[in-house]
Amino acid sequence: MKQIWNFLKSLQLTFWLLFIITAMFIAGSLYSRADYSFFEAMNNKPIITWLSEIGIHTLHKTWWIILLFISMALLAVNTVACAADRLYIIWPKRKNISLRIFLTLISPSIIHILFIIVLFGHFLTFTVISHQRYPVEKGTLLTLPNNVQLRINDITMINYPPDSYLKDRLMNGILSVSEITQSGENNYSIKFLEPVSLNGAYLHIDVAKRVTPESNTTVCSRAEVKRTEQVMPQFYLLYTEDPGLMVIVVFLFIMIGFLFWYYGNTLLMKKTLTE
Amino acid sequence: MTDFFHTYFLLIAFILYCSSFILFCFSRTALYRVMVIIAVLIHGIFLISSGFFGGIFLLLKVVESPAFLPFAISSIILFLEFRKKDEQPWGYGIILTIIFVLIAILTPRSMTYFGPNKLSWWAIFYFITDFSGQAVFFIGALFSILFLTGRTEKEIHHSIIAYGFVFHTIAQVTGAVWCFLGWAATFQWVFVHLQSAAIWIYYANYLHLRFLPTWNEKRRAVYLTAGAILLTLFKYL
Repeated sequence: MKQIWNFLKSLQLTFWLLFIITAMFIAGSLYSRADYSFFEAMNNKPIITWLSEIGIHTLHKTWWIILLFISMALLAVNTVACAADRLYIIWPKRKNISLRIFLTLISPSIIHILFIIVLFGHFLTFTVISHQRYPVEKGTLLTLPNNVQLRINDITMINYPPDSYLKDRLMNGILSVSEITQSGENNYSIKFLEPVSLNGAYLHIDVAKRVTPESNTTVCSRAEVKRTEQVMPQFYLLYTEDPGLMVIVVFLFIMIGFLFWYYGNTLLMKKTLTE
Repeated sequence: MTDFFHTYFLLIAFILYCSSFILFCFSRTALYRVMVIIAVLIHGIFLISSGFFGGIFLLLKVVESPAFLPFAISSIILFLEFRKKDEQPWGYGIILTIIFVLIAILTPRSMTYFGPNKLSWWAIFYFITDFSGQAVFFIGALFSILFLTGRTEKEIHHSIIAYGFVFHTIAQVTGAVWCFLGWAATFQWVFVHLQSAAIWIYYANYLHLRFLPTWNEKRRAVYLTAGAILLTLFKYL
């Protein structure tokens, strides 16, 4: 048992796991470059669904994803074991040192635990995310997965300034929508980079050229989207329910706060010692 | 006027960087520093001029430019020259600036503009911090090589690599925010994100090597050099 524990908390294991994870990300980046649209489809559904429908039948391209998740899981176990071991060593000393020094000493362990929680948030995103993409026109009526009824009242397209060479290119857009409820209507404006939160879900706006090889494919570079009298783009409403998002955001900022606190205190302590 | 700056100023900056390096090699420290400062200013003017595109100014074009990385490198070298009081030969870093400015000169001017999802301050912060992190990683690798070849006595690169990791971490955060605002996801399974994650994990691993007895100073220096090679492959292949 002790041998297993020593193995789980060893830094050698950390090194090899991080090395494997780096290698998997590198492998993934090479596969993704070779077949962009194949892997981009992973972004639109839970990864387990994608793996079971597509990934498992194309293991020669997707083997690295499975290894990546296994390595990440082992890294989480290793990190928790390391942090617990360090806390076990430092905890008895808390009465003999000041609170500030004690908190500085345990901060790295806390930061690592927070990192694992952020990773867990990403895991939630990858496994439980609900993502839908609806082509919309003015007057479209949608029923969203959370049973919200939405009507597209208007689509406003904003091009670059008319005195620039980019006057035919789309710079921004506004979807004016109404949520239809029993008590009336609630109006929202969704712009690019300004999503709207509605009943726990996020609504984003997306756009693509109308003439694409297959329907519903995304455009890698939205910069190619034109808007002129002859050429009008297709707008989309993106619906996302992501339970991992808040976990990632909240714990990431707590982690960053701890990082600054830890490094600030360490520098201060070093300065005090040299003086 | 902006075309004039864009056409000639990067070349002038390149010549000044080369001259400053020659002065550094001849230990003309004060003159070398002055020349680097002038080169950085002219380089900065070039970058601002590259933001003017099609009759409008796009800050994103400045920070996304291939000339931004060498600008970050030389700015960091200047910061190290004046901030650090240890008389270390930071001027060697100007070699990197010279190489990357040359690459920028030889790179055709990008005619891409930006779709709606890119016009965000988060994108700008992302590119600034990402390039700053890359700059530090390249400087760290250069000083690793200098350490391995005996041109520097101490392992002076370790502390700056830690700051490079901080920059890269901030880039991950700002990039994730931008990605969510634009594409409804904090991470996407596309090669750009996968490469960025690979780099982050690679340098996170480096920070742990100090605690492993078998990874002495020389092995860690080799690790850093390999990291810069990985970064170069990601950037240019």
